[in-house]
Amino acid sequence: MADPGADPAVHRRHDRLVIAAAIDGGTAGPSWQRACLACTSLYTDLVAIRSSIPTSTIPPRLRDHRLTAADAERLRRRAWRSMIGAIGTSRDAVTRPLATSLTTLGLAGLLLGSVPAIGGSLGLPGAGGATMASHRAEVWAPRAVPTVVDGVATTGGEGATGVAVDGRTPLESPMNRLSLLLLAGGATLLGARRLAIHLGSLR
Amino acid sequence: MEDLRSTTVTDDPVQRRDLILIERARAGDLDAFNDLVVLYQDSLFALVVRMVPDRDQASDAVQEAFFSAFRNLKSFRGGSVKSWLNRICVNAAMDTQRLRKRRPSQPYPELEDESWQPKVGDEVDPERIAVHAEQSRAIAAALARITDDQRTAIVLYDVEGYDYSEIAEMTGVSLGTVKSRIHRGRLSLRDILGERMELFRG
Repeated sequence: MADPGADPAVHRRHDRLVIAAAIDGGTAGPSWQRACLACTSLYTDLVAIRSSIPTSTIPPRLRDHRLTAADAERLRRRAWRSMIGAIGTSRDAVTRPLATSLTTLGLAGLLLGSVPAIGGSLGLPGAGGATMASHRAEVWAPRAVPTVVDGVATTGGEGATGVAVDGRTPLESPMNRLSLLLLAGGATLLGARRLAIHLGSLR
Repeated sequence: MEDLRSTTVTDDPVQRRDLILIERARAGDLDAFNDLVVLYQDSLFALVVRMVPDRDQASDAVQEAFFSAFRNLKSFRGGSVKSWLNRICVNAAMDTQRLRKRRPSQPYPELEDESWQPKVGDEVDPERIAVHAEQSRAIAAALARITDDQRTAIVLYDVEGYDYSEIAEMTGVSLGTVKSRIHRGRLSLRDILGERMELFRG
């Protein structure tokens, strides 16, 4: 039978990763590897590499890393700055998920607030004109409600629940305002994070 | 202030010493913190310079790590001080690697010949010294050419002795990814070393 290790075509079918994994497992490797000279050579080389990395000489340390009194004072004062400085680094596990959450909530709120069919069926305040009208009537009736006619504030009667002069734009509804606030907060946080990462790369 | 010695029962004199130094540092004793720096700066530099094969950048990363450790003394909750410092250094090294990726790629600098000489007294045979120096230079050059992720995983596993799950937690990836990085990294090293593998064979 021909030596499988002498046939490159046979060796090419052998998975090198399996051989690499066998080293960490402390095994001698699969039988097909032991029967293949090229694979055996690979196995031996990988073992030699693994053992030489920890024993390789390291270049000497360049400087003394002890802190001076000035360092300590500066670091104590900069505690809050370091929290901001952590933004965008491996220590930052907050800003990205927080920014994403705020942006998502803001967009969802705007969507619900701008589509009457959805917002109205959910009974959300500020979602859709019909819901707004009934909400206002419920809250303000039967008290007299101040209304604005042609820019002049007047006090209307009981029936003037504000429905007829409800000139609110979608942006003025509480829900949309809150959504815009959340969206702005999320976008600001994302922007701050990008800026921090960019400034960090310039250092 | 929390007495770390009461929460961490240990007979290890090294660990007890470290815990005492940490407590004093948290009480405001800068000399106690600097004692920890002196004790661990060599090993931490060795760790970081293997992950970031540029002595200047590695040095900056180690300094930043000690600054971070000083700022966050209160976050230390007991256990091994060395492991705590190691993790801070690994984070600092990974931050440095990330910054390098955003800059135009530059190869890691070649180090001067004398950088690879072992300390006097470690080995007396000149030939073995020369071979060892050559091996170290070859390994370092090869490590500099594999990816940051693979290099980090290999250093943490083969040099620092962390297991797969610890490395997965430190680097924020899955167990399978850690294994893949280590195994592919070693295969890449072997391919990069090429003919220089003769230095490592018998």
